Amino acid sequence: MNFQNYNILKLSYNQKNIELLKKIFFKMSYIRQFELRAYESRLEKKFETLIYLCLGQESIYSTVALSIKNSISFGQHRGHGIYLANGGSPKKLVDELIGLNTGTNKGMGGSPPIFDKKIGMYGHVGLIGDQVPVAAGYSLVNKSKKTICYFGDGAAEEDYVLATFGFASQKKLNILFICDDNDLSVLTPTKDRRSWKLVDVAKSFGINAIDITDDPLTIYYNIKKIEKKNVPALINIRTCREYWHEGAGKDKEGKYFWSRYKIVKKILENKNQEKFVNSTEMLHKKWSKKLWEKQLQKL
Amino acid sequence: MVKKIMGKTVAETIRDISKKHIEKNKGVIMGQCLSAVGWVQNTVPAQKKGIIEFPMTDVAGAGFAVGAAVGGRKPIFILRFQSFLWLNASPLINNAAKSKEIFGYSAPVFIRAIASEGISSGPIHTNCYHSPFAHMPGLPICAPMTPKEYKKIWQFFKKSDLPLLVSEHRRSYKEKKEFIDDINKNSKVTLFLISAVRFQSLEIKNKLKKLGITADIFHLLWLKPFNIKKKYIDSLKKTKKAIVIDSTYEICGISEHIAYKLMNKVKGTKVINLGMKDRSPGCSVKFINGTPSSNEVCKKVSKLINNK
Ligand SMILES: Cc1ncc(C[n+]2csc(CCOP(=O)(O)OP(=O)(O)O)c2C)c(N)n1
Ligand SMILES: [Mg+2]
Repeated sequence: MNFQNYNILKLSYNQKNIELLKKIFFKMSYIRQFELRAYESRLEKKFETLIYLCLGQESIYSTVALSIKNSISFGQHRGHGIYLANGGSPKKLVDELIGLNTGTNKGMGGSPPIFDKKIGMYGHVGLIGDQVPVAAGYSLVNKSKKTICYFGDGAAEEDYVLATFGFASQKKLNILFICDDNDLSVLTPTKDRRSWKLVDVAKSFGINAIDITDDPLTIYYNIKKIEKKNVPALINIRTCREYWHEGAGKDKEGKYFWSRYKIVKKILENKNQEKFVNSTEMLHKKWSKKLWEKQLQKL
Repeated sequence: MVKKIMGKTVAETIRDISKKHIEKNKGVIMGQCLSAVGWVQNTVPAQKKGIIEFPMTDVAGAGFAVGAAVGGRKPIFILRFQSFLWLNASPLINNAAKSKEIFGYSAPVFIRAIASEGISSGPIHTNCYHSPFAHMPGLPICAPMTPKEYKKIWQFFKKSDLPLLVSEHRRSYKEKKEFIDDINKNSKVTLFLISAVRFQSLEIKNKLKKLGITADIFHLLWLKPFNIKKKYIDSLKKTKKAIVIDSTYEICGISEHIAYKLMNKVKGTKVINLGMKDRSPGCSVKFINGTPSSNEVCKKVSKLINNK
């Protein structure tokens, strides 16, 4: 099935929405250019640690970060976007990825464990979904702030993830579960793994759950609706992973592949924002090149 | 010593065994991401028949496999990293391993737990976690590293009605070699090697030779039960000093236990163990904490021999 426009909100691109989209695109471009350099540097074997790129999924992290302020995030292994969108130091992230002790985790684990208390982001140990019950436990004792817990469509199948929905519902936790649904667990598509939908399961536990595509405005306005209620909610976001599961390589684009980045870019260009789009991309391209080159020299 | 053989690799051997198991015994292979991701380093036959893809359920998953074992299919259950053993542990040790004692029926599941190491393995997935499982009754444990050894333990499993924990290491998959125990008249130390460290046996031997030290080197396939063979006793009586080396943590593990058993068996000997340090390994080279290198082994041997 093609999920490119799945439950997309049909909104008019008025001035307000264009300005919002520009803000989101700015973050998307920032994450994307960081990741593209990471990809190239890894491809050139400048470093060999574990690296999970989030290229293709940038709109999720950019939009969530803009929609909810002052939250706590628990990410999974593919967490660069969460960290960067929430204001984490890109320099520290490069250092972590290339194994320097000035990295977010002193060079402990490549992509998964990114931790930065300052921006309220907790790390992932590497076992998929294991952050989900931990995020719920955190939320239980920190109800004043929204806890955002990201996980993948593969992790969604873990027993303890499903059990967490029950706990979150019973305790009425102030938690937002976000499933980055790229329809893949490593390379195994969802249809080969399960026959149920995550939203149906979450709903049956009494959790407010929606299933949408990764269109930024659709994510933004849905979050705005949910955000105020301070009750557990789940957003399953359909997206496309553009690059390899781990390491540097490009996946073959499937029949229903879409690049949300390119779609958003095109929308803005069609709305006379070509100049903004180009200067944003150029800015981040130059910045990322300089950053990576400088940090790689430390190796 | 290493014997070169022009036969099949370990991966090919596992694949052949699995294929035959499906064809001849109505066997099944169960686990996550088996087909789409290179057929588990080519250890799984590239076919649909007999292959059961699991959802990413890391606690219930082992339960599904145990159930299939109770149901009589002698499943091969694959864990693509040994770190997943932690989550899958309970159905394996509390159900499969104990069902014979508790209920009188058995749950023979062949557990392929795969270790890997290197800077991309990180703090969770690095190396072996067979040791905690040895603590519990009812679960034999082996660590085959050669094609012949793999065939041997498969024969054991076929005849037995117990589950079996097979501590595999990716390091072995492309290898065809067989190892032979190396016993010398004038050895000053005895080494017992487990898992991936065995691939360094020749390097260790040569480096020790340069230091003027001859060693008896034994390759351990079975970790539990660990039977003390006569040749181990003879060697210990001669050298009085030994090290048990494993590709996992040094403290509170199987290598320490084996060292203790050997030392008690042959009085007047000193048997110590060597493994990973008591800290999490990291991706960065600075945090490397893996299978002891040949240099580390030699250093430990020198220290032991010089009574330091
Ligand atoms: C408990 C556990 N089981 C299996 C794995 C192996 N594994 C690593 S990443 C991954 C894919 C997970 O897919 P998903 O949650 O959808 O995240 P994505 O990689 O798509 O972002 C798997 C199965 C793991 N790391 N931890
Ligand atoms: Mg996924």
